[in-house]
Amino acid sequence: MWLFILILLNLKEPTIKFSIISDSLANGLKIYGYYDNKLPMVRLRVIIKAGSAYDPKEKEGLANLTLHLLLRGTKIFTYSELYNFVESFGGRLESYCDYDFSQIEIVTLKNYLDTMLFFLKEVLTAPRFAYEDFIKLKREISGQIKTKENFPSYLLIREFLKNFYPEDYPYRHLPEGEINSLEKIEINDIKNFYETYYHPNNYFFIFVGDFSLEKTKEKINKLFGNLPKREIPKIEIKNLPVLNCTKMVVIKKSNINQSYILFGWPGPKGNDPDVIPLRVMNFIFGGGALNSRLGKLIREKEGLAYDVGSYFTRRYFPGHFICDLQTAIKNTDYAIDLVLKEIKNLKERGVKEEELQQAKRFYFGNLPLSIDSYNDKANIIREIAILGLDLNYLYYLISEINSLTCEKINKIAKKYFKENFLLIIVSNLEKENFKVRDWEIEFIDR
Amino acid sequence: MNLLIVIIFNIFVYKDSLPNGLKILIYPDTNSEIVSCQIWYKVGSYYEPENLTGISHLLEHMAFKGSKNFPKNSYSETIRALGGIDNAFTSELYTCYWADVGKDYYEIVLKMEADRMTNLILDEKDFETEKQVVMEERRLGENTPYSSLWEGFSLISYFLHPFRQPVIGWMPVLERIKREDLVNWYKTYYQPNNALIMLAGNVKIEEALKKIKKYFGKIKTKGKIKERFTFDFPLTGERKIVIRKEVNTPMMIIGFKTCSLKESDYYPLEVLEWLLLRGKTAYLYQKLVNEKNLLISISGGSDIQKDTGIFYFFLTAEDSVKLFLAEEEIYKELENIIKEKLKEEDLKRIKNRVLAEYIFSKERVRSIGFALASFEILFDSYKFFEEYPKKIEAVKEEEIKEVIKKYFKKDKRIVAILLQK
Repeated sequence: MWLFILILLNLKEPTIKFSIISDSLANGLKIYGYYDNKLPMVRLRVIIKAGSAYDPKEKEGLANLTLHLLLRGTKIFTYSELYNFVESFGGRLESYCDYDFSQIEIVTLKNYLDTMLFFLKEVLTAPRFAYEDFIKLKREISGQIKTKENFPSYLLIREFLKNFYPEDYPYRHLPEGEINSLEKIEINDIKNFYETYYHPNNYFFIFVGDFSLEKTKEKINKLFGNLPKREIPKIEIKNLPVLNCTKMVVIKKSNINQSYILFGWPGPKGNDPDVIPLRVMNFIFGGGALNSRLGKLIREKEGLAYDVGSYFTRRYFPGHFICDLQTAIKNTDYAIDLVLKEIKNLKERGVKEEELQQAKRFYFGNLPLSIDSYNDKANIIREIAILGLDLNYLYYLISEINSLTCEKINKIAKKYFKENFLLIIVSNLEKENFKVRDWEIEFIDR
Repeated sequence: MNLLIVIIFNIFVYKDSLPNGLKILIYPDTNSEIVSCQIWYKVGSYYEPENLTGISHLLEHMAFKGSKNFPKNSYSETIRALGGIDNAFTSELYTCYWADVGKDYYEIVLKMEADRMTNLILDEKDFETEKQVVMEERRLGENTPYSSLWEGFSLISYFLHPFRQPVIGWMPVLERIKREDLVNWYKTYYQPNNALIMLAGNVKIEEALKKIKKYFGKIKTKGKIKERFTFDFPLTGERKIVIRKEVNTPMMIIGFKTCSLKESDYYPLEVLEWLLLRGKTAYLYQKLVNEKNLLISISGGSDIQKDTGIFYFFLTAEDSVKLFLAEEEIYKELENIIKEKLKEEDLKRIKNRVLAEYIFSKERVRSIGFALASFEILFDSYKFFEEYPKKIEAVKEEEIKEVIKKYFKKDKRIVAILLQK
């Protein structure tokens, strides 16, 4: 009843306030900010455009190691002293390596912002890179990878990346690399990576919270203004190849009671105009949780899976569009067929006007929620900066979504759900247990 | 430096209840553009008999399948159409349904929640399908090393107390639960006198109260809900379980029984958790992962709920030799804390962190709502949330040493070990 009433309501573009401020130093260091004095705190991030996409071949995991080794000691701080320093002011220090970038974040009370900037200067410009710390860190990350390998879902995504992307493609591996690739990394690789990418024109700051841009810029200029600008090498990529047939790769894992299933297609670049209609198409198809077509069919109607959905990557280079689920072993073939049937249905019959209106309503209503916390705001600013989007992107997003038609969504569905795809399955099923299909099939016993 | 002197940061919470027993908490925050609307029921695996394990969680799933006025999944569809997000979770002691929506839309959520409290359809066909979904959720857990180790640990920690049961339930029990069981469970526990409404975000108190009364005021209670009587076989010695599975990394949980919620040791145990286990400065991380390379990771902490508590350490190592060496090191480290003087700066650092985290937690209204409501449900007072930093600030070194002496006895340890098959 309520839903019916809502559908009758006029679809209004939301009004939001989201003013990003930005500035830069003469050496190319950029500063982005969002002022909000609701709380006496600041989320401070430094984003280095040197994520795992920049790892050299066979040294996968180098960007991640470099980032974390920075936080293992500087000229004046040992590993535990670094964290002790931030925490003694009540702050939280975290680091994270993604595909396109590496990030150090400090959440601090506003009174200590200047102190934390001094701290970041020390971390970014005076790393110790001690051999002993390097060995310990490498061992710790290898151990974490070994632990993750206990999880079928981890094996699934790792195998997908390896099978989906061509050799030399920047997104072919997980940011942490693999145990074998970590073994090949030497301390000099870390030093070289740092020397290549950690320069002010290749990183930027994000501030969200109670701070003054003017004073902060002055402080940053004092601390970082003298650092020289350097030329940063660009990575060249080849286009993602078009699959000439559908391929199924089954990773055999004996001790599990479900099949972990993942379908993959090529996706767009993060700043491609297709991203907005694809986002809406994905919401309708599998991104809208239980309300999406996949959620309704696979989980709600058939009871085949707890977790089912679809998403696509939004990165600097073209990535992937995937849909995944886990189901009891006996239901594997049936679930695969149902997903394919739903894709066929979407491509042939398209989306309904009612579905599109619901998706639009969701995105409009969701905007205040998507910028609710300081963390949300910092994430949006990071995405805008990494992908080179306009600072007013959110306003553009609203008008673009509003202008979408079913025809446009249907065109996008046909464009991205290509005939051929890659299907990865982690399961204990043998080859003869699968129904016969006209696909290229490979079985790997791990 | 003492941050408590630097920052005074209080929150305003409005507390009330309706004549039918429904508790109300409102945390107004006019800086936010949204409202997190939460309803908490005092029911979870703690209340379940052995032949109905998992029924509270199963009911939580079924609560999304439709009620009289919002049939066929229209609850989530309506929330989505408003741009909101919603979900639910079940624990040992409570079940919570939450929805975050724009500030103008929370009334619709209240209306739907009132219908969910009284008019769930619980259709037979939906029930059979959703049971399969829950069984898939259980299988997902079974395929990870953590859940079997944790279930083994709970079984030897509590011989007779309901905390021995997993929240998701045992598979053979899930298979046998019938719709009638679910209907009875719903009728017993989904009542206003067993529930709490939490509104956090951009709301005006008077207006919010009017709306709550409008939708929940007429709901009648079906009777008083009996508190569950619990007891346990006394822990008279060490308990150990060894589980063998195909895993890459052996794991271990070491636990020590501590105290109930109402005992004063709660706060020294919290500080001990920060000192030993939280973050990169934690003693055990620095010693066992970084310095001695015995472990890949260590986590855990003080888990105190209602009438019982446990302090646990979760260890992951590359091989079993290192795992057992690390276990011994933990006991040594605990002894060292008792013998040596704790560093003043470590205690100050922890207290500063706790206070700052208290402020950081206010970033998202949903998180504050969760914290306030869970304290209200567990402690019967949300004020524990407000008082938490001050109580932590007051913890003395001697109290930390005392709790180690009192609870961390090697001959009373509970150990679950997961080894490679």
